[in-house]
Amino acid sequence: MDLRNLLFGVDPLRQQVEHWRPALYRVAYSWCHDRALADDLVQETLLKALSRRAQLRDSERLKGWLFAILNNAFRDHLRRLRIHEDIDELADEMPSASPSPEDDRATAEIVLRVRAAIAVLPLGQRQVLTLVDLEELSYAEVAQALEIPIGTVMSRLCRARAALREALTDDRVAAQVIALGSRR
Amino acid sequence: MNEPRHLSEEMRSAFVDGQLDARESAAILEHMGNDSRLRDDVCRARLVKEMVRAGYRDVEPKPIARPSGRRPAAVALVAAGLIAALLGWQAGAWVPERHATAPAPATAQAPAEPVTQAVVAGGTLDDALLNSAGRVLVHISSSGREKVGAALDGIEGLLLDAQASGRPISVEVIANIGGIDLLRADVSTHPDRIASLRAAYPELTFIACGQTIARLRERGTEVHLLPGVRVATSALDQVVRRLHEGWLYVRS
Repeated sequence: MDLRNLLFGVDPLRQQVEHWRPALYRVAYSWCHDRALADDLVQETLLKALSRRAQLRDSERLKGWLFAILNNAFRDHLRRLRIHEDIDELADEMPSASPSPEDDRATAEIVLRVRAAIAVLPLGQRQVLTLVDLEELSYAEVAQALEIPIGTVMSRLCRARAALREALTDDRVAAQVIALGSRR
Repeated sequence: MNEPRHLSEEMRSAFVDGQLDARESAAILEHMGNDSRLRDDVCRARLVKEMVRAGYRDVEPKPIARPSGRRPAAVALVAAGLIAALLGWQAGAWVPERHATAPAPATAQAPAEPVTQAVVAGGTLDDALLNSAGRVLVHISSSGREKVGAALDGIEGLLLDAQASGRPISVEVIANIGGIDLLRADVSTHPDRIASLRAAYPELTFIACGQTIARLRERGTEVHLLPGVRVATSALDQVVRRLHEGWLYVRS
């Protein structure tokens, strides 16, 4: 199916919006670990996409385009918080809130441990890693979405994975992941 | 890439992510056949990738409310320049705003002419209003006094124009995030203007986003809306519903 039809074509809009909401929400949550904020970011992203859909000329770019809008919505949110004078420096400095069982309903220890490890990654690394691993964006799509060179995508990805490898891949954790996978 | 130990971290990651071409992938596979340490590295990298996925596999948004069942009309596709001309606002740059590699915009610059002269890709304002049967949904998401004032000016101009020419018109204003302040009795910057607009134009409706209200209340903020303001499940829900019905969607 033409990707553009999924969001902007002849199918009912609601169906198209619902098609993209889970992916956008998952990524938004992995960036901020705050369900309410993720909800707001996704709503803002889809509203912007709907208002600008006539501007999308290249359907191949739809996925990257949507995540680019999400990225801008997230950056706008951080600007509103006035956490940092130079928003670009956040890529190297900004850990997210720490997830907890109370706010994310996760019960599996491994899930919390993975989220905690990702939460302490610098924002730039966290964004690249989650776009590649959760939504399988190509490196080129990630570069488009985050407005960074592909070389930066690759180096941030490697640094993120090295940190996660260090934090997560002892034998006990690996066994939990394998067990978790076998249950689904 | 003669020796496995020289394979960079980037190359190994790209291999795990399926980002290499066939020749590069084949070369790594060949190395892996002869190097157990490389095999272990790749296996561990795949494990980390699987862990990241497992960490968010169950993360899903709450479902949005279902619309009551009117049959959808054709969706009006309107260029950004036309939207800007409609309410006299400046159109944004192509999405995303700071994107370096984006394709060329459909309309590079919003026309600054009066509404009646706005001719852009996709047709004229009259065409757009005709296609939407005079139904326009205006979305306000920020609370800046000047911007909101300009939006209200644009809305009134649209209503006046329709009134003068005898054309049917319906305008809904949906407000969310910071824009909801416009509709809050205790903080609105334009309460009298909204009251007078509502009195003069029964075809004008103001709607607040239920999701934004819920968020404010969760944070301990009391929300009191201006008289006559309705509440939708969410701004997204309302926009999707109206687009589905063929309304023209304009974002401030």
